[in-house]
Amino acid sequence: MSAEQIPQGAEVSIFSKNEKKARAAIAKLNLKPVKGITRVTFKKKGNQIYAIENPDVYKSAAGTFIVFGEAKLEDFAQRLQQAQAQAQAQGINPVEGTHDQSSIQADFQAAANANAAKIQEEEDPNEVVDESGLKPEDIELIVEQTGASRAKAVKALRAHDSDLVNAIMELSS
Amino acid sequence: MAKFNAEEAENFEDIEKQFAVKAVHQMETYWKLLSLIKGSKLTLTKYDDEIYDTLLADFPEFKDSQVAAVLNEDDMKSKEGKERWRNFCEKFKHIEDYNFGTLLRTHSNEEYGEHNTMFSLRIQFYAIEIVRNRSGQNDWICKK
Repeated sequence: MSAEQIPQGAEVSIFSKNEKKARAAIAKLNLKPVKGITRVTFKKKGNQIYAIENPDVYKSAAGTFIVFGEAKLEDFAQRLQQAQAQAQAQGINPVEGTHDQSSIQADFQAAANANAAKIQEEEDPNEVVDESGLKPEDIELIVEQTGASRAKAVKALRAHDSDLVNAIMELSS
Repeated sequence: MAKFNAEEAENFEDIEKQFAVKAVHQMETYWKLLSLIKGSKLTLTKYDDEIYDTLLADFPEFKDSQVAAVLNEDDMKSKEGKERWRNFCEKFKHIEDYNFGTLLRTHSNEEYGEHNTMFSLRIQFYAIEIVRNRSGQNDWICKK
């Protein structure tokens, strides 16, 4: 069906104005991006499937997932046939998926953690950062309150225009 | 197939809850700050002067800082009050989260509580709390 009209791997990102707004609002909730998700499907009664190819997936601390992307109606029977044909061609027997909800959650969690770990690695705690224009007592307070490095405290303060509350919230969530 | 049942999955309500979670987190963080530093020594953003000056220009009644000590929610949210505040708020679109829902104490001499909290926009919270902080109304919160 329609998903096939867009070439695989194509980066199609045309957002409507409302979607841009929604993304901006949700981006402020400090959600962790979950990388590596290529497809999200919603199953309705009667084997109707809404599929989002190459979605942007975010996870909140409470375990809620937020998915961006264009949903397309898919014919499940047709897809199953395709998958079987493909599997036969490759000489593989179709195997029932063994993913239950908890293992899916665990996978997502791992992906989110791996991603967070990567971000952490990129930051050198001993990095010397420019503190000009910031109040040293503000920086110290953030370090004291959040246990973050001085460099991180400075970055957070700058990112939030010296808003202490927002900076502490970012580092403690 | 996966046991995850999309038909029973909820998410809309949870997303709404995230905004409440953030508002409460903001309130708790701010309160903790006030308990560590005297409000009169605290700056909220790098735009404090701009917010303060604009507030006094648009709402000259705040020149008497005691006006900020007890807020009248009905006045602020009356038709006329809303219009004045809207004009004020729209001047601060460049400030992060300027229109984010934020909890504001109606009385500066009491802590956040069921009867001492109203819903405001972040920029209203900044404006009122800057007046309160600068006039020392929040210094009692600091335990040091």
